[in-house]
Amino acid sequence: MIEVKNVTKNFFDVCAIDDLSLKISRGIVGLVGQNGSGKSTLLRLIGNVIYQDSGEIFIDGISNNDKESKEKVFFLSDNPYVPYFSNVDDLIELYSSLYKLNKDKFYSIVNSFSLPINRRISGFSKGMKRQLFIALTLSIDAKYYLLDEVFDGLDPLVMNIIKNEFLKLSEEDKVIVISSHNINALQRMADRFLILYKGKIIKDDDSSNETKKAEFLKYQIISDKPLTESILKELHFNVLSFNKLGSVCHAIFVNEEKASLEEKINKYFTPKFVEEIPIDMEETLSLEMLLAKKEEK
Amino acid sequence: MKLKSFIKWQVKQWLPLFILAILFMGSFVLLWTTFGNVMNWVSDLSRPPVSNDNYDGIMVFFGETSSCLSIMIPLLFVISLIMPMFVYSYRFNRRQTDTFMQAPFSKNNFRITRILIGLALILISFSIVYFLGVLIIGVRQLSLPDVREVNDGVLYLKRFNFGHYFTAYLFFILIASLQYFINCMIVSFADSILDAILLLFFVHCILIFAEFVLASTIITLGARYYLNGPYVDSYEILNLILFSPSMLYFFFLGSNIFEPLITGEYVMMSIVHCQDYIYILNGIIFALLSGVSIYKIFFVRDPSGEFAGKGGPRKYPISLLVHGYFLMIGLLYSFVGITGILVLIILFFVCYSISYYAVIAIYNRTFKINKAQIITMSSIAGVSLLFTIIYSCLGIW
Repeated sequence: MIEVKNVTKNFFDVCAIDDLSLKISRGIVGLVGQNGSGKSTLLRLIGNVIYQDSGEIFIDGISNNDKESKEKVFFLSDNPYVPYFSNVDDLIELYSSLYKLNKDKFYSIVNSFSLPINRRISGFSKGMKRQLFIALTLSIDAKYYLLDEVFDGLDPLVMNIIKNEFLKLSEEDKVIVISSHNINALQRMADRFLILYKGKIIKDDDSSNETKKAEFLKYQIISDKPLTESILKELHFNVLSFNKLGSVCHAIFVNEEKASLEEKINKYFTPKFVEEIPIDMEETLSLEMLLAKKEEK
Repeated sequence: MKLKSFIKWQVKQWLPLFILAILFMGSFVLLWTTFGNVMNWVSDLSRPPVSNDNYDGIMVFFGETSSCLSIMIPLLFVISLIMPMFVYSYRFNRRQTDTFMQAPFSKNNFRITRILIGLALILISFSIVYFLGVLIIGVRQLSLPDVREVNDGVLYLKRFNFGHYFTAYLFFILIASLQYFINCMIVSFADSILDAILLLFFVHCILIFAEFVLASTIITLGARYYLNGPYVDSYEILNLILFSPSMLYFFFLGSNIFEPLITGEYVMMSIVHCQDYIYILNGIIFALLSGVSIYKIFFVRDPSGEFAGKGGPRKYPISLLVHGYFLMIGLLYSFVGITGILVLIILFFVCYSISYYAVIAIYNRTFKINKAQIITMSSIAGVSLLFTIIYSCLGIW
């Protein structure tokens, strides 16, 4: 289990991680948040690349600074290091000196990605480099994998292969923490989502955590009566987001009980048409961040 | 971590550097040992040789007979200054920091491994070049007869004592190793290549000039004008530059010891003017620095990696180095500068102020300097100006 206890990290005047605590013990965890919310910092703290200003981090009960802990963790940054003038074999030589690496598995994955083994890595495109390092990740024998923005620039075919490989790892009781802005990709594989906002977790859909859960309801409304965001707020609706296209209004409400909300809508607006629209994971996560921003104001 | 595999990988990465070091040092050494005057033709073998500049068939560039240590040693100094920047390059680049700081081995072990590989690279490349140079000198001397007839008599070849090349070699690699560790310690405080260069520059300048500046300002004034003490020879004070606890000191000392042992000549540069306390003081400072460096680089944990490549917050003790450096420059001018002419004084202090501001701005990564810095800079410039006026008025020069 990865255990983060009351960790704080500041960079000059900016609080990147603010008294954060969490536990991750299984599965694939998606780490999402706006730019600058602290995702990469959190992964670097767990990976022991940087040290926290206060708090503790444990890997299976042992401090993450300990060699025994570090042997269980593999961190892949968003822009990994490639030695000068190296090709794939040179890269493997480096990583096999640092980690337990299954070379056969690596080359098998690289072949499935159709990556040129003999070409210099500096000649690879951004997506090809990503594929290469994902192949490396999948070949390294660790218990915890921390992956920072790994899905950038990957095509759907490769994404499918990667998804299957990560699911296989997860079935082997490995824990994978992936930070990404590609929520669609994460949605297809993550068991749990952590949303970070300004160094704090604002949503953790692991039921064992007591983070506040916001309930969002999205409605499509057509009404002859005036209907705007300000009117809704005046009528004490908890409206988070509102937009109007022609005569069709889309409103997202937060922390409202469904039956009473529909009753209020019917009472005040006598709508010609009202329908609840399902919200997907990507939109939910965006709404969580938007809510956190508004609450901060 | 598989240590052997990592060492193999690291050596392979630094192989071009190794070759470059050999080519760099080799080009100077080959030139000097091939064309330098390494022949001691004397009229009487029982007496020390006089300098001569002639030899059949080969044009001699350098007049005085020389063992060629004087060219090899500065090269060793330069290499031991540059290598630590490669050793600590993993802290100057965020991608490398991400890879190596989280890898499953002790950060200390990783750092020590790189430091020792760097040291091996310096010593092996220097050894190759050094003994190649000695071989060339040996071959040149061996190819010569013992006796040569000239117009007014006979000259005898006083051959070099080649055994002392080996003892000199042992001495210099010991000094180079310790100075390499000192440079590694200095660079270990940096998060970027610019920081590393600035730190090395300031520390070395302070080591070179501090003793001289203190002696010339405090001791001179005190001894001459307030304590009615013994006369302090300005030549002795100027010598302090050469004998300050700088990185070059022990190289210079070694060169002065082994040059006459090898060539049989008198010591070229007299060291007898230097007081005994200078040797003791420099020895203590060097030993302390070496000890602290070895402790720091072998036992103290690497700082956190968040500022890799960017440079971290400016720590106060490092800021003192910058201010200390400019205080020294100001005091140095007051003692050795042309202080009697007003225009030159003004010109110096204008240039001094501009460069002071520029360095502080570069160091702090901003042109907006805070009040504390401005007050410090003004105070230091004021002290320098005060000493300049004092020396001008007292007519020391």
